[in-house]
Amino acid sequence: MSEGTMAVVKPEMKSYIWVQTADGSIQQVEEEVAMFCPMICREVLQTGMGSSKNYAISLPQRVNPATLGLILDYCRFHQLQGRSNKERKIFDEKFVRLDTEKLCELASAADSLQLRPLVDLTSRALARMIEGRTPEEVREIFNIPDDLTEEEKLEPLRNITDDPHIRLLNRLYARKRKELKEREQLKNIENEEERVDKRSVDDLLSFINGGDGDSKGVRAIKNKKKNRKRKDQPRNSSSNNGNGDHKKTDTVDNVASPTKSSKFQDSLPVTFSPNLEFVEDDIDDELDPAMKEKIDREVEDFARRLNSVWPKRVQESVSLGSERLVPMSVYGSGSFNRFNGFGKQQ
Amino acid sequence: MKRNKRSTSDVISNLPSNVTKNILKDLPLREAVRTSILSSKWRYKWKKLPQLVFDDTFFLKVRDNEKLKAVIYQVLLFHQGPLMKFELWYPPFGSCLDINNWIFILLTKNIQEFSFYLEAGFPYHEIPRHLYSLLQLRELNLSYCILKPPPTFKGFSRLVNLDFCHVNISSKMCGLFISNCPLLEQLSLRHCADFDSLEINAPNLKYFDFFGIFVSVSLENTPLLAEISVTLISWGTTRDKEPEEADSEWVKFFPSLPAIEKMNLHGAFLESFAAYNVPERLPCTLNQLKVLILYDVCYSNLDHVSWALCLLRSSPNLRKLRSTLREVEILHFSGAEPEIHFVKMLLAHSKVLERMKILHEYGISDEKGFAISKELIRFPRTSPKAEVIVDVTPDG
Repeated sequence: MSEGTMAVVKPEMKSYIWVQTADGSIQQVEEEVAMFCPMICREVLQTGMGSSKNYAISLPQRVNPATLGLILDYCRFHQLQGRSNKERKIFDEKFVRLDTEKLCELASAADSLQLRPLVDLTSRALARMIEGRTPEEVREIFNIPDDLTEEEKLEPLRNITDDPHIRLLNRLYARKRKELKEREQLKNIENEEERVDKRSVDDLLSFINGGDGDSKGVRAIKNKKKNRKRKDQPRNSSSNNGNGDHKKTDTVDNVASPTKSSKFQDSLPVTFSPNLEFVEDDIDDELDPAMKEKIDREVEDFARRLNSVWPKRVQESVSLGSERLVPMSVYGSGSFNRFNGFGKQQ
Repeated sequence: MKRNKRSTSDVISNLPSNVTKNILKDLPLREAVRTSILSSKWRYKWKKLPQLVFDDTFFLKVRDNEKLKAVIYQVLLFHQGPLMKFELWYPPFGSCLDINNWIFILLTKNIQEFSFYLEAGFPYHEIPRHLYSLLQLRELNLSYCILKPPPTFKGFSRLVNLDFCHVNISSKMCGLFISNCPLLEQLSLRHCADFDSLEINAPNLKYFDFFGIFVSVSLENTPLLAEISVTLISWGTTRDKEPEEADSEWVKFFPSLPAIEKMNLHGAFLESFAAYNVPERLPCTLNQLKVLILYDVCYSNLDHVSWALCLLRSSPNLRKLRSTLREVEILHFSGAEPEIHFVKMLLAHSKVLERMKILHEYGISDEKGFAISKELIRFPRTSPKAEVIVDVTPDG
């Protein structure tokens, strides 16, 4: 520059990018720092924006000025190549020592700027705050409103939309009970343990199939079988209205019965062996009355046993509705019949 | 997002789903599902988890196997959307048909990583045909299973990592399996059924780890293999080879490793190569070889030592040698550079070395002998007890 001598020291020739946050404020950011964010990088390269105040890049709504500041701090540190892994780790750990709200905002903003490493870092920090804590503690930390009914808390896996997979589960269990019955018939002498196991599975199955804790359940099994033969018929209305309402889900039927439906063969590129566990053809012969009664009695028995056998602290830590069988709630014909023996005592 | 008063806003429930998924992914599965009772907004967030890992944090010493299985069914069936990873670690109920059902459910989930580790003591689990339809698989880890791929199986075209531990599969099937996975980069076969001849045709293979029994292994097409580790448990079976046959094997083996950087070889493996004709130098130089680990190498065994020397002579860029020697006797030491290098390495890395005996070639001049000794004595020794004896190979 031949302008004669100048006493003033020229500032460093850094380039800046102009960005605008959702609240309207515009600011300059060092280019190399800003380009660390994929979203900004893309905007600059594809649209050429950001070169002046009038053409500032509009940042996503979730990036407010304060959060932007934090993000830029992160970028400024990490975009330097020479840093060791240890240094980066130390920085990261200190960086996420923020209150929960700030952390959430940061995660959100980083996500909208597509800054993956920061998203991972913040998510992990948030996960650490949740891990090992009871739901009440988590609610308190994050100000989550406690707006579920007690009932809802007991059945966290309830499905609001009918899911064809639930029916599949139903079939699975029905099949399983059949296998067990067969085994039972084969054996002449049952030893104690085996009886207990089978009994508990029978109970589970009847829960699922019946929904109600009474003999209706058994009828449902019978009806299901009839229904399956005439696939297009709606399910028996006496049980499980939940199922009766939903649209025909032939796909599920097809998926499970290899021989019957050729439709299936086209939809799934799988050839099933004849020993497929998911065969629905030959499920459940009619149960004899003695069996029905046995089931009814054992249903109650099981519930009682569960309650006593399942130690309290495990009940608490196992809050999947405490291993509640979800199908129970789905098949509970509209009025959910909560089984008191099951699950978390409130 | 409207900003409420700082102290009372429930920010975490309104995070973008990407972030929520990320958070839940870092939690043990139980806790992730438990978030469903936090609030109405949290009810179904867990359903889109990108991975399902059923491990000890899930099983938690619960004894009721039926209950556990029921829950796994529920979780699988309630899960929505694509599932990247499914892992089942040492389930207390062992091998059962339910596992096959779960694999079936995974068919609709675009699963990319499937890991199933059964424990020792349970009967092996026969993997159902559903598994071979998981065509999106990039990673497959199996333990204590029986594999019988159907004839229609064309391989996993996207598979990158394969780990079989205690898997029963025939050598032929295994070779076919591998060659039908063209993108395979990491292969680990440990304690699998006795292989007679194992053929590895894997153009992208970078890492190969073998622990078990085979009679012969041939690396058909492994130009990129950078790291190899071979442990033969028993060499008994390999003794029956004809010398020519054995020779032809190493002739093929080492040249098929042009890119090798790290070799971890078990003595028995070296022995399997040749009973009679250990070459002085390999026909190819292992230019990339930087780390050589030889274990269970019996250095009083001529073959082993010869092979070790041969490898060393052929590895000009070797940086690290690891061995568990106590006593070394090197015969016909010629003082050539690679051998000196070898001795230096041995001294530097053999922590339990007690005695090293270096016997010069017969006919070496005194001066040369003395010069060599001088040099050898100076080398640093890791083992405090190491004793270096230099002498002349006895005549005859």
